[in-house]
Amino acid sequence: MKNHRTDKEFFEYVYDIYEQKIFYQALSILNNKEQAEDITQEVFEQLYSDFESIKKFNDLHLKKFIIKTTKNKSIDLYRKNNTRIKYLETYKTKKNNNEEDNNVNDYVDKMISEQEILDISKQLKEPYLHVFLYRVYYGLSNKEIAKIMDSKEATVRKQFERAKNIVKKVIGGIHYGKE
Amino acid sequence: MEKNEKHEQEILEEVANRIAEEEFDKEQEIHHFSSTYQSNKQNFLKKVSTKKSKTKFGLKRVLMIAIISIVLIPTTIYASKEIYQWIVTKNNYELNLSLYDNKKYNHDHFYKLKFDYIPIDMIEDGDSNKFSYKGNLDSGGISFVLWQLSGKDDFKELYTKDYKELTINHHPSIVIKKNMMNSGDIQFDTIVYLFFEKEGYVLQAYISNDVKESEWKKMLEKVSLGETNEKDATHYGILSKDLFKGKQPEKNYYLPKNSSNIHKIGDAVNTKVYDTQEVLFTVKSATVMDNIKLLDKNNFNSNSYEQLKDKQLIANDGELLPFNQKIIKKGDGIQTLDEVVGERKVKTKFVYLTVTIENKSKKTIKDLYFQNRLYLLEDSKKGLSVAKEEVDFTPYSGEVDYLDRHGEGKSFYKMPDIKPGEKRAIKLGYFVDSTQPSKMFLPVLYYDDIEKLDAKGLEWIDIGQ
Repeated sequence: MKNHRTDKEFFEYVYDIYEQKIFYQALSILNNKEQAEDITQEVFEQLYSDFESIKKFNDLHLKKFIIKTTKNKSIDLYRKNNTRIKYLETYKTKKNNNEEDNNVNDYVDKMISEQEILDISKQLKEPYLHVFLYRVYYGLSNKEIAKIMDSKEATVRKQFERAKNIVKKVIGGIHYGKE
Repeated sequence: MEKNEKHEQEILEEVANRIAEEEFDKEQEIHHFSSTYQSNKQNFLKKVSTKKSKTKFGLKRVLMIAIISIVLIPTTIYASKEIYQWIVTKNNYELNLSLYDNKKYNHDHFYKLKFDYIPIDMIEDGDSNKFSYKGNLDSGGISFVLWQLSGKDDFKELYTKDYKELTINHHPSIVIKKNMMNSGDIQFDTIVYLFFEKEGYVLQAYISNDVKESEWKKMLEKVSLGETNEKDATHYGILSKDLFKGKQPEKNYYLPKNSSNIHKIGDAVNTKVYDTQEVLFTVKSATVMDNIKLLDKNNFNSNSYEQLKDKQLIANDGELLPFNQKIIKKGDGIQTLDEVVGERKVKTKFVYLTVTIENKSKKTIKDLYFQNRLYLLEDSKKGLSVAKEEVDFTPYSGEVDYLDRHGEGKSFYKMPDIKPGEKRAIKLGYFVDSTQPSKMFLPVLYYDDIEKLDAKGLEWIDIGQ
């Protein structure tokens, strides 16, 4: 992390790099610009209250922390908007142990190579990409995803299966045992 | 959850995490924030700049700081002098290098190795910090490993003939000359450790005997660690206590001579490829040849063929030529070095096999690779085991040296599909020397690592001549 002389400089730097990105991440869940702006502000408030620990983060960890914070706040607000929905799947956010571990090594021994991720990104086209992210990363149910994407629950279910198959195809037998 | 399902879930989550990061970084059109948001932001920045960041000191922490200061003050006085210490001890041929330093590195910076001088005609293999000469690619040259120091670090080298300590471009260094004999002409017989005191790293260089001393010295004088970001940093190792624990003694595995897994030339051996499709595998014939002129040159694996050509063991008319072979007794690297215990004249030979594979299953066999090397097994009281004799050079390459209807490039060993019921004849072969034909055994289409010679499902054909 660059050394910023003052706290203000640090936050100006973070605004500069992440403000737009946070807004768009929140927007992808909430589909509402005012709410996505509120979340952007809330994320900065959160960074400020965790300032003592995030000061020590390097750029990569700070980014991961911001993405996770944005995700959690967006999902919370989304759920508040939609109390009518009965969740079919339990939603839980797991605390990731690496979150505050400022060490380069947890990027070295990953299960999946950069190349595989690149291939997955190439092959996982919309709408499959977002269905996959909503299900696995944001932990939303098919019903919730259908609502966000304005489609049918059955369609989402099929799209998720398809997305999973694309991921499996790229990663192949090494990780999935013998076919 | 089933173990597999759980593993699958972990993989999906990792993929999702990383794709989410990519999505986050995607360029979007600029969003113009509302005035309400802008005024909140200004208030927030004002709050940030006026408020002192609070740090609470408990009594315990104040005490700790006091104690640490007392401990640290004496060492900081010496900080301008030597703060590290090499301790080099040589016990016969085992050299231990311990590096103590009183400086606690926080390692909060990332570095990339920078080479300001690379010998002419030398190129780096990708971004691997391995350099070799254009005429001798992927062989010899010089390669670098970076170690991050953790306070007290021990390095160990065996087969050390002698060493000297010197300073290379202000870096305390140690140059170690080793004495070992591998088969082949390329020996990595010089190891150099360079200590980067300011950054808290040690750079280890493995130098082969095809690099002149003046060249590698110049290269090491011009190597530096440049500060960079985490993504571009040179990969480094962290010394762990077990790293130099010494090698476990090699295990000997035996195959009983009367094992039902040993078959003869002509036997149809029933086996399964990839655990699913049944085939009958037969070695029809094995011939030891002194001349290869009748064989199609395109079917030779270029590595082995070129090497023998370079060593002038294949004459222009295809004749395989004799050469002098040194017999080596391996040392343990501590009490004893490798030594030459004899020399003999041996002949280069080629073993030519005709094999049939019959597909007994109802499905086409696709992606079948013929990649099993020839094994040299010796008889002893306990049974057959892998021959241990060390020599300075043998044509035996440990690869399939000849294969007809082979694939191209990296898929050299790939064979055409075999239809259900089809019986396919394949010609293949191996280079050996004249001391080896009596010891030859061929594994039958076996794709796991071969360590235990009597592993379940591992069938052998005795093709000894």
